[in-house]
Amino acid sequence: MGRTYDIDPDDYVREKPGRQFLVRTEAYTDRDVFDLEMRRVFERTWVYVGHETELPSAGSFKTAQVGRQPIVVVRGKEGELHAFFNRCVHRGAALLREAAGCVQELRCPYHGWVFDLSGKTRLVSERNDPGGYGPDFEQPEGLEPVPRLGSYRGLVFVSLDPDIVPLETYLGSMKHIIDAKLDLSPTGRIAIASTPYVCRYPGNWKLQAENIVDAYHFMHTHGAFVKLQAKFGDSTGDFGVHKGRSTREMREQRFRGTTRSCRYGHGFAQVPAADTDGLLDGEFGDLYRGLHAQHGQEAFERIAAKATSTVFPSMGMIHQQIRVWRPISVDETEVLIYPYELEGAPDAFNAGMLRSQERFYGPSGFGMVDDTEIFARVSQGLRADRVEWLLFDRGMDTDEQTGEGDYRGLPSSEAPQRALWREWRRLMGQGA
Amino acid sequence: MLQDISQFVFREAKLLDDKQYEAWLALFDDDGLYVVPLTEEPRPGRQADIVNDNKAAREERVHHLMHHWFPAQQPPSRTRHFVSNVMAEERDGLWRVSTSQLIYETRAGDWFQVGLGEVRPIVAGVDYALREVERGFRICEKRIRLLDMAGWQANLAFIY
Repeated sequence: MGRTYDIDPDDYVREKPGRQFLVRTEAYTDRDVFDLEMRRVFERTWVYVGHETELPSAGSFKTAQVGRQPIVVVRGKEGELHAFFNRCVHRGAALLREAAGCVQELRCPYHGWVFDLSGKTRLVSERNDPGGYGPDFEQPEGLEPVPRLGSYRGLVFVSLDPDIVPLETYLGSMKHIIDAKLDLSPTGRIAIASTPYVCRYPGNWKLQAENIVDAYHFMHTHGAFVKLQAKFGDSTGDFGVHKGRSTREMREQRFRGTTRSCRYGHGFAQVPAADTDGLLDGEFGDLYRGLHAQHGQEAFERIAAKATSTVFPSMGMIHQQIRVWRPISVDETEVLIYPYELEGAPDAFNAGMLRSQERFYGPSGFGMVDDTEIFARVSQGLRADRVEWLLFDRGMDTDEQTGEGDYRGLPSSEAPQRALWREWRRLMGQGA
Repeated sequence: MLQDISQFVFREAKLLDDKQYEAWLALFDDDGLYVVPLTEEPRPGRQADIVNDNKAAREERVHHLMHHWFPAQQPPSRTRHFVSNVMAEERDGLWRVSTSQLIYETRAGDWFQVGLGEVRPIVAGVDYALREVERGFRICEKRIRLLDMAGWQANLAFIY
């Protein structure tokens, strides 16, 4: 590739254990840093590309981006999943352009080459016509596969790094959060039925990665929502998502629980359910009592807890949604919000959850738009690059290291954000 | 009748441009809906909308805009609606009205304020179901079908 540009990541992330954690402005604003991230971060991690229910039958496909690489995931004849780089091996045309759909085979519209659902070359059109391919032609075997594909409980990830650790090792303690969220379904399964919200913001992708696990900002960025919740929370179907009626209750509830900085860059913030008895006796008591009987008290409390999480580098789970962020450039990012259904939960429960997505996360909702507006403000502020550092020290002195290479933090610690930057520093320091 | 209906729709648009939100709320039936879908495919109960407001949700939305400081509307949006292609037919006791609307929106700011100072067009087919009442109409449903509903949406934290 002949790239000569390189950085010393220790210049960008400075950590004095237990005392100081700084990130350099240019980590968010420098185009060369961004270009390097596309290779060193996105091509060396497990990147979430979709959920199995988005690929229901043979021929179902979903297109995705891994950093800057367009890829497509296809379900094969035997139900197995394949991931390919989304380009014809002949002259490079993208084979599939829709976000998702279903095909019998992959046919390139440029010269008509055909590939089967497992990516094998089925037809080189007019192969033996005058001026066609001779007997020595080395016909490509098929589409270029993405080196690794794996799934955990229906969540499908790919990696461009053939030597990456197994997906379950990579997810580490984040698996407990995924488990807790999916176990809220009586069958342990979720389904993506709704088309996603798609929004963009003028700012670096890491702002979204940091924000989705930021317990600290809520009472400030979303202060008006907290007031709205106190006044309208019972009438507009908030659905217990932002439990706590008064501002005081909301604050108390927000500052319970724990945060986590995980190995491999993931982070989460977890808050215990405000009122498990209320859940068991409430409108959806049948659902919760069933879960309680199925899993027992201790596991039930984990399942009923609220968690927000980020799977490094570009996927998150918050509320009843899967979120994906796609870096477009150093200062532009696209965010896709996929509400999911709990299989086996009452229809009214899943429908109510959709209303709560509209209310907070949609482009006309009362939450997400405030976050993206703050990202624009951060982008404006970071133009002041004469100020060298952003501060990520909060809660550092009370974070505790765990056996598996994580740090456990108190509820409003910036431990989850530090996870991202620790892994960023590690990956960005590994040359070519 | 078409003229009365057109005047009603123009007035609704003007109330929004003038931020006369209490008067806008009063245009709706108590069981009226204000809907902005994400897709043309109807999947009741399985598809998130951009907006799906009953009376309580409309009142909440108006309260938020009128009484709260929040980042997405600081500064607030200004809008100007252009309403055209008004057609109406009576069906099942309601007037079914289809319109084309071009809504320009801007939040004041100069070039140095990231994301501000641009005039953005919102292009939509806006359909109404109107109930005729004494001295006018009430909105049973207002449905905004964004031309780019399949694409990405910017900040739509205002009423449009």
